Amino acid sequence: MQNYLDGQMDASFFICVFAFFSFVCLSLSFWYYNKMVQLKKSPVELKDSVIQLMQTEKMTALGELSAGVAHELNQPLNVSKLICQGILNDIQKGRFSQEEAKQDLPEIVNQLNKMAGIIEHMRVFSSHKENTSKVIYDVNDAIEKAFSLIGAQMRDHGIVVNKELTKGLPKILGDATGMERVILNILSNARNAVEESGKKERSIGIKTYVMDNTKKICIEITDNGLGISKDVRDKIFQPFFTTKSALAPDGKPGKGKGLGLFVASKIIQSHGGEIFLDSHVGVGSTFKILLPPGA
Amino acid sequence: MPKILIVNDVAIVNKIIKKKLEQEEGFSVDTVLTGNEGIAKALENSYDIFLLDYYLPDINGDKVCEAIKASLNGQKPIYFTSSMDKTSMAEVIQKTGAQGYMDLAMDVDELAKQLKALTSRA
Repeated sequence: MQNYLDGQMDASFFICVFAFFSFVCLSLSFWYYNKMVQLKKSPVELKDSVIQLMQTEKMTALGELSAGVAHELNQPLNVSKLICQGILNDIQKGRFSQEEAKQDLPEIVNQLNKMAGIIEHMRVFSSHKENTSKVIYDVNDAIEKAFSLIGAQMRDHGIVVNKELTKGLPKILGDATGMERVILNILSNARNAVEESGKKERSIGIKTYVMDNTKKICIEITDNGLGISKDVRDKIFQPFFTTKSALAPDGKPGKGKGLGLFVASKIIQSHGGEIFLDSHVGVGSTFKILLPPGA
Repeated sequence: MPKILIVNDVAIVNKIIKKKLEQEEGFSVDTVLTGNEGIAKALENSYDIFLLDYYLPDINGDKVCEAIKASLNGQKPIYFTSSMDKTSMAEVIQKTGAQGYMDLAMDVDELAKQLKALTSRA
């Protein structure tokens, strides 16, 4: 009887084990099938994800830029206001001179044109889609355009900017607005680095030149900020890696998304270029971008 | 008649403020566009107040302020007029020993009122 029961239990045990393994195998097959389907889709999905990441980063960059644009608009706005006050004052005091107004009013038009240019530039920048149009351009133009959005803010924050842009550089082929975004991102990081360093003399340098040996065009952006430690340097171009806090003290989203340098490296790659970082903690950082000539 | 020197690289701003202060408030105002011109003027004339922009085409305002202070033994008040953020401006004022900050973009009547209060106190 005992032998019979043992035999029955052995058979049940065998059936259970068999059923369990069958279930595991079926689940694994199902999972594998799904994975294969996903893998077949992955190039398209990956591309969509990168585009989405770039879009997210652009919105973050635009948020940060709005403060810079406010500084840029401030001066022409104040000059226009002062001229209007002057003319109004002359009318009220009965000393209005048409000749003088003829000289002063074009200055208001100049200042308004300056403001319209900044706003139009911001519109082009925000509606730009990466790599949709490749053009032949001068990197110095992309740098000057970036400074037209962030230069006044840096100046008003007491940061000394040293520009050494070599004239007559060979043109490059690629996404010009994308490159402007790269420059803005690195400048914005540099600004944060010098401001957080607590140093009295805060400076950012940018220079362009042609490498003697490779004939590549080089953009160097240097700051005397906090510097970046080696463990951070190794991960700095990875997506979602950030040293900035994800949340601001008030609980709202913070400055850090960890996408800026990742997107910058993608844009540089699309130019056939490379980006390097040299940094020393407490001394500062230098980002070096190498780009092949495009024409 | 209190004398003021304005060092600012936007000519039309200088012109409007000069006109307001001279024709309505009884000041005598000289204006220059660069830092070096400002230092030279300060040495040639005797001013009661200096209004100094920080970002000038040749040298920064802190250097101009230091040069004027050194030549006049720091006797006359110097006010910066740049649109710098408050923290950076406070650092510049502390570093240079300037008296403070005055906003050129404010209402011109208000600017005149502040300058009158300063010169009547002196």
